[in-house]
Amino acid sequence: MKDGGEIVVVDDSYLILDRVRERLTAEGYNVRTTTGQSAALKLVEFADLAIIDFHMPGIDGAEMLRSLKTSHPHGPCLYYLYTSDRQVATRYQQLGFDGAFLRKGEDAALVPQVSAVFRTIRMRKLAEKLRSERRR
Amino acid sequence: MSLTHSNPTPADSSGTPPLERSAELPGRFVPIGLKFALVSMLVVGIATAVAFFQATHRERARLIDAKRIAASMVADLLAQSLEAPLDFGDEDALRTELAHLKQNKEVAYAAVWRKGQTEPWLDLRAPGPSFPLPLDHETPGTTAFDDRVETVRAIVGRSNKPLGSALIQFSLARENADLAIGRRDISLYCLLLALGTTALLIGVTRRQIVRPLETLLGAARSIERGERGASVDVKANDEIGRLASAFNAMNAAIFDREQRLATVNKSLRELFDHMRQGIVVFGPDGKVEGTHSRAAGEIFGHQALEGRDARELLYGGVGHWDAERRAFEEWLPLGFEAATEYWSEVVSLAPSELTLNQGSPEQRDLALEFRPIAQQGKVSKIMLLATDETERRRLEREMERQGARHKSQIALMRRLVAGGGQQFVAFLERARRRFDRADEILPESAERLDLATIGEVFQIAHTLRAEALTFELSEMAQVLNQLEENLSELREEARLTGSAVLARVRGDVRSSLGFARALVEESEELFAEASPAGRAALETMAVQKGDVAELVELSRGRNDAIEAVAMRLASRPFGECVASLIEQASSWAEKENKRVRLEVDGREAPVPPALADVLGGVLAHLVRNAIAHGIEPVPERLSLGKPAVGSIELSCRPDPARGAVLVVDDDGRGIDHNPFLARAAEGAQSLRNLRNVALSTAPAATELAGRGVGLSAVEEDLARVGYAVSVATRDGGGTRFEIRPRSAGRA
Repeated sequence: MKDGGEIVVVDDSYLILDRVRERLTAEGYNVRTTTGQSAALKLVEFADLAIIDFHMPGIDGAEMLRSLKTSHPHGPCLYYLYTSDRQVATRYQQLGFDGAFLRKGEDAALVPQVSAVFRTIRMRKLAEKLRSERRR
Repeated sequence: MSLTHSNPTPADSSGTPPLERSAELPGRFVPIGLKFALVSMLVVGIATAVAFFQATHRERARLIDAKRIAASMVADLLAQSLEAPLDFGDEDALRTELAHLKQNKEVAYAAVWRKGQTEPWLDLRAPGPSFPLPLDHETPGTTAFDDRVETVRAIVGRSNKPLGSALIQFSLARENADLAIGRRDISLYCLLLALGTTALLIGVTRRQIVRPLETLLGAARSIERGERGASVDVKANDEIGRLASAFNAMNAAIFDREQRLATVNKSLRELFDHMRQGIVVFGPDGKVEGTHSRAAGEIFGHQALEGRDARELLYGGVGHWDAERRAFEEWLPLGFEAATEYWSEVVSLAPSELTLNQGSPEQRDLALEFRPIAQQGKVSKIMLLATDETERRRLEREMERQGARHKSQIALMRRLVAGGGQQFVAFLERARRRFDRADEILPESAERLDLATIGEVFQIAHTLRAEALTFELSEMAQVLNQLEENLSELREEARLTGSAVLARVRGDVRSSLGFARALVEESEELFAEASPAGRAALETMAVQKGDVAELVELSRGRNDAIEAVAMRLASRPFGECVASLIEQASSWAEKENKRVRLEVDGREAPVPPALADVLGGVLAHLVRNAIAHGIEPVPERLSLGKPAVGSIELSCRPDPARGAVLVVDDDGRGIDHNPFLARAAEGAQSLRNLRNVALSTAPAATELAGRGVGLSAVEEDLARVGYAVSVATRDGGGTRFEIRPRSAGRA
């Protein structure tokens, strides 16, 4: 396991989910995918990163995010939008996401983006460690 | 002493100009010479004034003393000469005596008083200034005033009877005039002396101090301007001379240091510019500082990078939402905040690669490396080394794409093989004939094509495309589709004019056909590769199993060519017998925590039908045994210098004595180290001994082999179909089983 990262991907397209899973698994991540909200609720509990599609039938990514955050208010999970819609990407903060992966569908772009998120997680841990060392 | 500012060489144009000019001093500029002159004039002025005062004072005192003495003597004489006339009251005699005084030009006034009277009895006044009379004209004495000397004498008669008194006033006009002339001369000399001294002092100061200092200043300014070689000519050995020589030494040292710096700088710069890496340095604010390498300018597309933000440089093209950009923005402060001992951790969190202008034709793939520049244990700057890997990544992606294509094609071919393969072989043959036909009707020299020819080529392309699609050869179908479109254009043209000029699309037509043909050849190769029978699959045709069995039965015992052909028909390719083994072997190895690769040689070699029936089981036993006992675990293999993946070679070649010789050869630890085989091999190389080792000697009976029954079963199975197995070991490890027909005598 390269990063030992647990990733949840929520999208309405099986095709996309399959490709994302295949790609990220090859990079050493633990990837779980779902099209449904109830499954997503369970999966994010242990996830480090949730990648959520914005345009899904019946529910949009922001709504999905709200329900996930309501049920796991203090979870360590980071939420990123997965979209090719630049307009939505620029609104990520307002929608409550931690960031966005643009260029949806381009596998080559996905891996560095995910790796950047996991680096961010580790950076925050390191920064926390440095802060606590300074306090001592 | 003099200092000459020797001709400075012009500043080296490549040298860096001085960053700061010398600071402006507060207040107005007052030359040191002027200060010196003012002070010296003041001092000399005071000194001369004091000397002048002293000199005139003494001169006056001397003149007045002389006057007093003269006045006293005249007054004494007058007092004596007046005694008798006063006593006798002889006014005429008195007058005569007083008149004598007229001869003395300096006497301004003389008077005689009778005792007790306030008004003079007689007086004499010379022409000229008149002086006031004293209040007391009876007390004898001499008094000096500024303009006169006054002397009073008592006139005493016989028997000391006071008779009266006499007063004479002497004018000092002559003395005062003399004094004025002397004073004028003295002050003139004093002034001349003061001026001369001052001029001399100024001259000396200017020559000895001011001018050398100005020369030094000029040289210092020229150094400030960055001019090299400015030195001053030292001529005197005094403080200024020493200062000048120290200045020259300092200048030479500066020049030397600058030259060395410039040399180092130049070679660094060259090194910098010849590196393929783009190098920029940025500070805690993320701004690029100082110069950057030439490659950096090329990579980031700006010639001037100084002052630009590293975040913009790397992630300028993406929005702030971008995960990679956000990660870098969080990383940047961490990089400067963390102490150097954390840097290995910090640097592992930095981006290691980056794609600039993703998706556009100017896309650049960069490998990034970050290095801290530390001062006193704190990171003050970070150096970024960016390597352009666009070309390498492009090749990698191309390879990856090709690999994926190959993989999907192999999968496709396996499906085709599983479905019999005969139709596919037939398709390949038909396709080749169609391509030949197309070549025939499209000669190289033809410039125009008639409608009929176009129609026929179109027909060929159309059929091929449909067939290709049924075999999921999508790439070929695409090529042919394009060809069809081109041809239908030509056909339209030919319908109107009777024929069509190939010039515009002929290249396309021929190259499309050539490409499609190449794809057919490639498919054939892949098919042969995927087929267990190898290229033999291309030569086979479907026959009924029952017919073959019957033919074998009928020809049995004839010992002629017919029997040989019948046997060959019934025989199966070796590759088919080992197909399932190849798939299973790796999973067996996995269970044993080993890694194994099966290599098959002679896939096309025919295996007689009887042997083929038992061969699957036999080979499975031998391969499982090799995995369980022969092939070492990976760490052991590595420590022995063997490749991590063990190899088991399965080969088959036709035997002249109507059969086949098969070999199972592994590169494992060999018999000597294989406890199971070692004991058996002590006596003979025959497998019979192995079989007699009834139970496994393996430390623990593993799932795969070592239960002791495997090898005897193998030998029995082979014996039943007229084959024998032998075992051998090689120097350096490895076990080799050989299966060959029993010798005629024992068959």
